[in-house]
Amino acid sequence: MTTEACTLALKSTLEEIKSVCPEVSNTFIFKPDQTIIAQDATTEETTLAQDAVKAFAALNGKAKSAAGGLDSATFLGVNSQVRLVRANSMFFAIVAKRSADEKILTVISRVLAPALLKTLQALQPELAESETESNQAEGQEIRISGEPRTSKYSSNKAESAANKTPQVAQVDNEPVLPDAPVTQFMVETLHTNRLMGAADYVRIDSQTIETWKDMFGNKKIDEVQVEDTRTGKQQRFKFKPLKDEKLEGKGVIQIPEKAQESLRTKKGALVKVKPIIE
Amino acid sequence: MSKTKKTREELINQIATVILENATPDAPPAPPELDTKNQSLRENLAQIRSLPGVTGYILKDQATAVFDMEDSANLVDYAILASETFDAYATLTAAFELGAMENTLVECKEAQMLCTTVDEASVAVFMEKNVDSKEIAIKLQTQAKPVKN
Repeated sequence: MTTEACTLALKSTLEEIKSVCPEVSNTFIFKPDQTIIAQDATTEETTLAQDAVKAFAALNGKAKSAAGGLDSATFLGVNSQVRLVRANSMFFAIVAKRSADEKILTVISRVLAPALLKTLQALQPELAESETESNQAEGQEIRISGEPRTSKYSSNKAESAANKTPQVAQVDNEPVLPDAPVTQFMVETLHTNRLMGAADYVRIDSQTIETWKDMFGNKKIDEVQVEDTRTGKQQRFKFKPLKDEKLEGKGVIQIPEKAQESLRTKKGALVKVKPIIE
Repeated sequence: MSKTKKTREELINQIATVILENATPDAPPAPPELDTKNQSLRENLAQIRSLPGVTGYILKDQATAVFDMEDSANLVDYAILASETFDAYATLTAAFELGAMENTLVECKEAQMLCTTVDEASVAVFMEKNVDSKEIAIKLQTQAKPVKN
């Protein structure tokens, strides 16, 4: 499925959401770098989404520093409400009247939207690529025309995503698990508190960890396999998200010195990292 | 934008002041204004703070800010997050006419935060992810009564 077709299908789906719940006034999908992927027709006619997306992006940045990043947010006003949900490195936002049925909104934002975004990533990974890969796209907006049938979206044309996610995405069935992705990082030394002893874990970009969580749902990911690209030496480590916000999105993995020795790697070397799915 | 920055700076200064006050061996004397104006709110927040899984709160009005945080090392980060949430609400209400704030729940990877306004005071309650935020919201709403636009 081409990017345009995918975006078109998304827009159609957003319109369908408004049909399901008439109290919904606006829906849009965007990436953390503020690129709007799709929005319903009403929202498209205005610049409301851009303003909201800026606010959400700022909030996401602060949430990263304080508590590891934003999962969701619900803004309840006396007249209307805004719900924001993160899935697969993307955000889904829905605006509805305060009187809207909470159960329906919850189903839309907690079930339908994540399924939609996961399918989008399976079908069109480049559209849903992480902010680090597309941080130049600030303000960019994909605009589309025409209205394809929503059913097109769940077609089995997943060939374009075959490199990263070989399985065909099907919204209605059990979620399909893609192969564990391999990501390349540059080694940085993880300095630990001497009183606490050497760390037995590595630190990885939280965006990457989030992508894994989104890809593999409830599957447990406690360890990663790290392979030095030069020597081919592999080793498993527990992992945590990067603490230093400045390193986020820089393609860096922090490894303690001892672990670097056992892995026969060093600062500045390239390693391949793969999550161990249990 | 400059107004937002100013607010943050003020907030950080206010919190720093409270931190210094808290550093004294005895319990810090509460700011007189908050003492009278927000006394019942503070009592309510103290009760909420004692609930399992609730990790702290920040109460801020135009002049002062008080906090009770389990993880006070990251207090400024939490305070900025709360401030950004209120800013985001202001942006969203301008765009989508949300009206006066009932509450805002921000769920992060490691914690969640419930924000609301009571009179002119802003309240942010921090809690673990497994805490029922609705229950906390109900407890806060005994204080918070937004004025309908």
